[in-house]
This record gives sequence, C-alpha cells and structure tokens, in this order.
Amino acid sequence: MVEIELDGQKVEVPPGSMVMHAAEKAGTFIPHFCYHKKLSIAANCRMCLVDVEKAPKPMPACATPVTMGMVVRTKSDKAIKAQQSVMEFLLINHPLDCPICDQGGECQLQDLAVGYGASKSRYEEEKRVVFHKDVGPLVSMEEMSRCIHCTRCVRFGQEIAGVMELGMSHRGEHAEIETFVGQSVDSELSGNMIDICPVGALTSKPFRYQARTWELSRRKSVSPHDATGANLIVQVKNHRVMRVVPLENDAVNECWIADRDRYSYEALNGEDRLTQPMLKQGGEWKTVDWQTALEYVANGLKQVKADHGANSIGLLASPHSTVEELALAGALVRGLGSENIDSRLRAADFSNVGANGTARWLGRSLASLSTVQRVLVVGSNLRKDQPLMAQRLRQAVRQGAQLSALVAQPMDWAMRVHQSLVAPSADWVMALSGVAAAVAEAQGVAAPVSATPTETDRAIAKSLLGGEHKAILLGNAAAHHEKASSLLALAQWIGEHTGATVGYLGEAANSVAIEC
Amino acid sequence: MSQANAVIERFVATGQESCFHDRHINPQIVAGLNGANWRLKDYEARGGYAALRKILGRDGSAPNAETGVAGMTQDEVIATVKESGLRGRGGAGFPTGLKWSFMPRQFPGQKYLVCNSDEGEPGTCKDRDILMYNPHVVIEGMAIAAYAMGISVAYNYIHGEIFSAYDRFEEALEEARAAGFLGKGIMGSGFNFELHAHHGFGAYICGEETALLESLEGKKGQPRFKPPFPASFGLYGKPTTINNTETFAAVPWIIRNGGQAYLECGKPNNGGTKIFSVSGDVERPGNYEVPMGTPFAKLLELAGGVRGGRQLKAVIPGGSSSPVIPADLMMKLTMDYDSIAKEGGSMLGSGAVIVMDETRCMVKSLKRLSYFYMHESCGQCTPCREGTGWLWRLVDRIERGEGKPSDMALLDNVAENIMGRTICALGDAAAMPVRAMVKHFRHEFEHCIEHKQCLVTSDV
Repeated sequence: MVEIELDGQKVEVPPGSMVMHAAEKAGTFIPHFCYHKKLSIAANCRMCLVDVEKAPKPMPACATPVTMGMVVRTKSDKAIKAQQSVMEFLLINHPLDCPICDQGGECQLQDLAVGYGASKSRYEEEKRVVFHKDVGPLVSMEEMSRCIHCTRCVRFGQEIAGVMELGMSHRGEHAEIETFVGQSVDSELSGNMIDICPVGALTSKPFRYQARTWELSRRKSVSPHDATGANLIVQVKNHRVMRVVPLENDAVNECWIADRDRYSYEALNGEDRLTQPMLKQGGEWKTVDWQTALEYVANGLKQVKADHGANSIGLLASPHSTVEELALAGALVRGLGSENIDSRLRAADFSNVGANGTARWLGRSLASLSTVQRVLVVGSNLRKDQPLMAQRLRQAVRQGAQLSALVAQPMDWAMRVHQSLVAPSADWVMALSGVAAAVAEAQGVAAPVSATPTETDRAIAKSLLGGEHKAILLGNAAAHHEKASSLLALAQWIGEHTGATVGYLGEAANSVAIEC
Repeated sequence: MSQANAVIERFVATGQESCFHDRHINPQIVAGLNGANWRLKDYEARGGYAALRKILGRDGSAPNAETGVAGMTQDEVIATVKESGLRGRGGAGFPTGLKWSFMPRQFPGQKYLVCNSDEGEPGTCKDRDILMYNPHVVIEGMAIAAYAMGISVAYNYIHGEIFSAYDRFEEALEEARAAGFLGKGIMGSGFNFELHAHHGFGAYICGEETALLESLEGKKGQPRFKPPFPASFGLYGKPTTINNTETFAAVPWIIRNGGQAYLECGKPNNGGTKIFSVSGDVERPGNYEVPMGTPFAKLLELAGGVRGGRQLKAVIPGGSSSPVIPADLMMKLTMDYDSIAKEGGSMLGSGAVIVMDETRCMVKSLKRLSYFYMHESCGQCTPCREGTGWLWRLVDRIERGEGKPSDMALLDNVAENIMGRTICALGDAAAMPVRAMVKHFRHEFEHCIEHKQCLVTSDV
C-alpha cells in the first residue's frame, strides 16, 4: 500500500492508484467531468487539477499516480485557482440555456459552476455553435453546443458497449462529438451515454421536455427483461412513470442498464395497452367489469373440471411473471386439483431439470463474469439475450480472457472471440462432443462420446485447460434446444475435466425462482 | 519533381532560404552540401557511415584489449553522447545521452526508435533541409542510436507538408538497404535494424511526441497524458525513444570525433553546432549552422543583417512559441540554450530565429501567431481548446480597433490560465508569445486600443 497525505489526512491506497482514487477513499470530492470510475482515464477536462507538493504545475488528480509520501492539497490557492480557470474556459462556449435544458437540476457542470464559476462572464466574443445530430430514436443530440468534450460517451462506446459509435472529429474549436458519417447509435446499451454525459448534450429523446428532475419521485425496481435483474430507479410524476434510470449495484448491473430496461416504460403509457378486462362473446371483444370477468373465468374452470376432470386443467406461466404472481397461479391450479403446471414455454427437451429443490442457474455470481479468464458460450445471442452479462464478459475479454463460442451463425458480440464454432443448431451436440473429445485427448482420458476433434475443437479445449477462472455458459438457444439435456451433459463433462463452472445464462427474470 | 528541382536550382543559385552557402561556422551537418550531393556515395565520400563502422567494429581498428571485441559497446556509445553535451534539437533541449540511458535496454519485447521529422513550428525549416540534402546522416544517426539502446525497428515520421523530403528520404532508405547499412546483420555484425519512413498529414500537434506516436499508430493525432512516458509506454505501448532529426544528424560526428570534441565546439552544457533557420526581416534568410554560443549579432551578420538597413525591433529566437525578445536585449545574447533561457527569458526552441524590424506591428504579428495556435489546437483538453480561440479573438478585436483598456489585463490573464494546465505543451506555446508581447510591447497594444489603429502603420 502507498500512503499519501491528502489535505492533511493520511490515506492508504494500492500502488498504481491515482490521486483521484485516494480522494474517493478519503471521502474528499475533487471536481471532475471526464473522469468516470468505470471508464479509462482521459485527463482532458482538466477540472481535477490539484496541488501536488514539489510539482511546479497543478496536476490532474485522475491521472497522477500516487507515490509514497506524496503531499496533495485539493483546496490550496493553487488548486482552486486552476480549477476556477478551467471552469471559466468550460463556460465561455457553453450556452446559458439551463432553464430549457433537460439536464438542468442534475447537471455536473451546473453544480460545479456554482462552486467554481464566476457570477459574470469575462468572455464577450461570439459563442461557438455546434450543429445538432440525429442519431436515432433513443439518444437526443439536439443541443451539441452544450458538449464540453469530456469524451465519456466515446470511451463508453469503445470500452463498455464494445462499439465505437461516437467519436470526436475535427480539431480545436471545431472538435465535435458525432457518429461516423452520420450513422445512428444502435448499441443495446446506448442509453447509458445519457447517464454518463455530465452536461445536457446527450439526453433521452423519449423523456425530452417531459419533466424536471426535481418533480420526480423515485421508486426502486428490478428489470424484468432478462435474468440479470438490473436494479432500476423508476421515476414517477403524478402516478405516471416518466423515466427509468439505473440504480447502481456492483453485484448486478454496476451503473449500467440495457436500453430495453431504460425505455420499456413507454409501453406502460401506451395507447394499445389493455387496462380493462374483456370478454369475447359472439366473436367480439366486450369490455366488462372485474367481477363479471372473474366470475366468468371461475365458472369456466369449474365447468371444465366437472365435465372432464381436474387433470384436464393445465397452467402455462410466463417466467417473466413475479414470484407472487407465479405462487398465486400455482395455488389456484393446485386448488382445482391439477398438477399440470409449467413455465418452460419454449423448451423442447424437459429432461434437463435440476435435482429436487435446485434449479439450473448461472453456476457462479454475476459479478464474477467480469473476472473470468476462459469462457465457452454455447447457443446464445449474447448481446440481445443478456446485454449486461455480455458487457461483463466484454470487460473480462478486455483484461485478456479468452471467450469461445458455439453458435448457429456468425454474430458480432462486440468483443474479441477467441474461437468460434459455427454449426446449425441440429449439429450442436456433435460439435460439443468434438470439444469434449479434444479435452479428453489433451488429458488422456476417455471421451464421453466418440468424436473426432477438429483444430478449432482442440483450440477451444486448449483455451479451457488454461487460465484459472473458467465458465461454460449455456445460452437461451441451448436451453430451448431439442437435445438440451445432451448439451448440458456434455457441458458438465467438459466443466468437470477443465475446472469450469457450468450454468445457464437464464432466459427470464424468474426462470430460476420458478423452478425451485 | 521538376518544380522541386526548379526551387532547388534557385536556392543553389542564390544561396538563400537554404543551406547551400559558405556562411556557416564550423558546420558539421550541412558541411559541403550543394543540393545535389545527397546520395550514399557522396555521403560516404564525406566520411559517412564511418561512425556506424566504428561502433560495429568494422573500421579495421584493433579489438579492445580487455574484451577482445572490436567496436564500441552500448554503454560506450551512450557515454560518448552524454559526454558531448548534445541536447535535443527539437525544442525542449533535453540531454540526449540521458534520454537514451532511460531506455530499458533489457525489456524483453519489441522496443522502438522514432525520429521526429514533423517539423511544423512556424519559422523552422532545418529538418527539411537535412532530409532533403543529407538524408543519410539521419539514417546513420538513427542506426547508432538503435545500436546503443538495443532497438531493432525505427520510424521516421516526416511532416505531411514536405512531400519531396519524404520522397528523398525513401530513396535514401533504399540506397542504405541495398548497401547493407539497414536490415539484418548489418555489415556482418549481429546488429539488425529496420528503418521505415512515415509521411504524416501536416497537423502541427503531431510534432508533439505522444501525438506523433498516436498518429503513427494510425489514430487521431492527440497528445497522451504523461506519465507514463514513452520510454516505458510508447509506440504500441512499448518502450520508445523519440529524438529530433537534427539530434540524430549530430550523432555520427560525435562518434567519429568523440564527445569531448563536440562539446568543445559549443560551450559547456551546450555542446556542438546548431542549425538556425533565420527568417523574417533579414537580407539572406536561410539555414545557418553555427556553434552553440555564437553571439546573436554574429548570426544576424551572417544572415546579411536587417533587411534594407532598418532598425532591429525584436527577435523570436526559437520558433513561434518562444517568447519574443526586444532588440537591445537580444543583441547581448549568445545563441545557446542557457543564454536565451536564463538571460533572455525565452527559449532556444527549435532554432527558428524570426527577425522583426521596426516596421513590424506587434499587434498584427501576435494576431497571426495566435491564429496559428487556435487553428492547430487539437481540441482535446479544455484550457487549450477554449483558451487559444479566446486569445485570438481578443488580439483580433484589439487589432481591429475595438479593444478596451481592460483587455490588456484580460489577455495576460487568459494566457496565464492556459499555461501549465494543459495535457501537452501546445497550451504553453500559445500562451507564451502572448505574455511576452504584452510584456515587452505593451505600448503598441495600448496605442491600438486608444487610437483604434496600430502604432506602426508602415507594415510591409
């Protein structure tokens, strides 16, 4: 550990840490814009300049590595003067349109300008105007004059989303954030750019001019869209959901959410949403009251039981439902005397259930996906099925992990894929047998099924036999496969012989809970 | 090429705006050049590649009595360069031998050597002449540097706006490869060295060493923040040493004649000769190679004195980013790093001496300089992106006769706020000329603000 003195307080941080990390640990706030704990360091906003003893110039806290005995002052005259001058530079070309800016009230620049800005500008020349851009229906880039060029959105694309959709083109005063030749922003994680933009340059298009942040009340929630269970804050005004943003939880979604988590609230207020019970009589839907509807269904179920027996009643429940809904639905059907209950709506092979009281699950913690070293993903459209798990695996790959895949068609996962086995899903069992045979060959044991490994199989086997933290992940397509149990058995054999955990990526929010 | 030849012929005929004249003092790099004798055979006739032969033990000299090995060791080469007092000719003046000793020679992976020929500083045109008329001296210098630091691959990043210099250097590389001075097992030794030329795109910022590395990697030329320094994390993340063209060009002479001899041609801590690109209001603008420590008055005399016999007003001694020095002070200085910095309060920089006579309006001059830095700011970090434009707009307003008395303090304060707060030195480069102009020629700015016109109106 390296000990430094920060504003007279002793702080210990691991070697290689920056002054900013030490300040975070000590609870000292250093003003900043471009620094973001989940992104690489850019040191371009210069707002975090602090006074480091023996350094002639003020140093950026985000990019200055700590050294033993370093003395840092974040509030000395030198530091404050540097921060104030940077703030002045940031503001000279920033429009003074806070009253009509969606970011108003939750804007880092606005907040810090209160502390570090002057009450009057010394700049009397013409202000810069930056042309607006249309990058699609989700992210608004209507007021790019507000941009302070911190490049957080650029780095987010490169590092987190894995696709560099935004970049800073041109030079000097003409530098602007834009997409390559006017393309749209299509990443499944694009909405996060809105959260990390410290000013009102990138804002939410659906939320544009809908409400002010201080008018909204906040409710904690969990995303229902996939098995990640991303933590959300649902923001409500007058009993109407106005916006959804992430609730930071490092064990689950970190500070990100997928676009479907962020924007699906729009359907809540959709005009075609069913809000009243309806009965279809004589080929026509008729709106009725709840009492009528419930009695109609109850009578119908009783009638079926009386005429055909309880066993003729079955329940198919969506695993997207809540635990409470599922429990009540199960109680209803069991009350009628039937045990015909299932939630595996898409499964073709039902023999891969977990032992009694257990469930097929991820096989390891969500957070550990970020630190795996070897991964084999079988049958998944990873970016679309589990975008946040894909993000975690992307971080692992960026740290040097090897990710191999068995898929039906080549797919862009926006990360480096070490080995890719592309085969029609009907051949997946054979393909995975090849990998198992390659593992067997490398270890000198008998293969679970006889197969001749290909070079790719051997490369995947070699990859899985290296490294320490390893996972074999079965995707939705593997869970729905007509030979899902064979795939699982092969995966488990490979897992046993390579030391990898085996698990399903999970189809829906309650896929696991419903099984237990 | 014919147009380039016509230009060269004119240079040769007049001896101006070039280095083909006899008004150098003890020249080393440009000695004997006439514009046509740049080829390998000419260079060898001038004693070229003897230094490379010497360090590789291929010059026929007896092997070392103790080690039994002919030639010079890596440490001996670095020690010789250290002894010579050679300092970086690109502008910063960092001791070259010291920089070479920072290179982690035992690093197991690839290491790189880079020559910074991205000569973009207004007023500077020395590297262009070296690459055009004596390219092999750079190749030899780089080979020696690579040998000293155990490097096998090097790049020469050539400014995007000098096309013929790039073509010329490529031709010279072909000659050197064919003659076995580049490639595997050079002259039968175990030393492998590949050198590649890279043509930039003309952005000033790519002369900043880390922006140059980014550009060389194929990215947008934007400086990296330091630390880490290129010696530990340079090109493609590998240890890299970057030197200026003229620095490399000085190395063969040092190896041939010894560090002490080089030091003795200059003055202590400022070894050797330096090429000064004298431009502006002089009779004979051009490149002048003179020993370090030559009085400015002597250099001005070599360049034919102030044009038209006019009065000297001021000198920008080291490229447009160095603070301007008024005439009376400048005439007392000698041309070396220490005199210009300590006594003149400026920088020797790249050695571009811009001479200004009494007819120059300092407000107009500063306006042009400020415009350059606004135009060339990369836009990455806040103070430079926003501040360089502000500076230009302020000077522009004053020059147009719309300035206010309070603008003087504002101008100096904005420049002060940029200095030392940016990622690279471009912010400082933009701010320093402003502060020096306002300090030394304040009355001209005040006159412009008060009378809505320049004090000097006969600007030509």
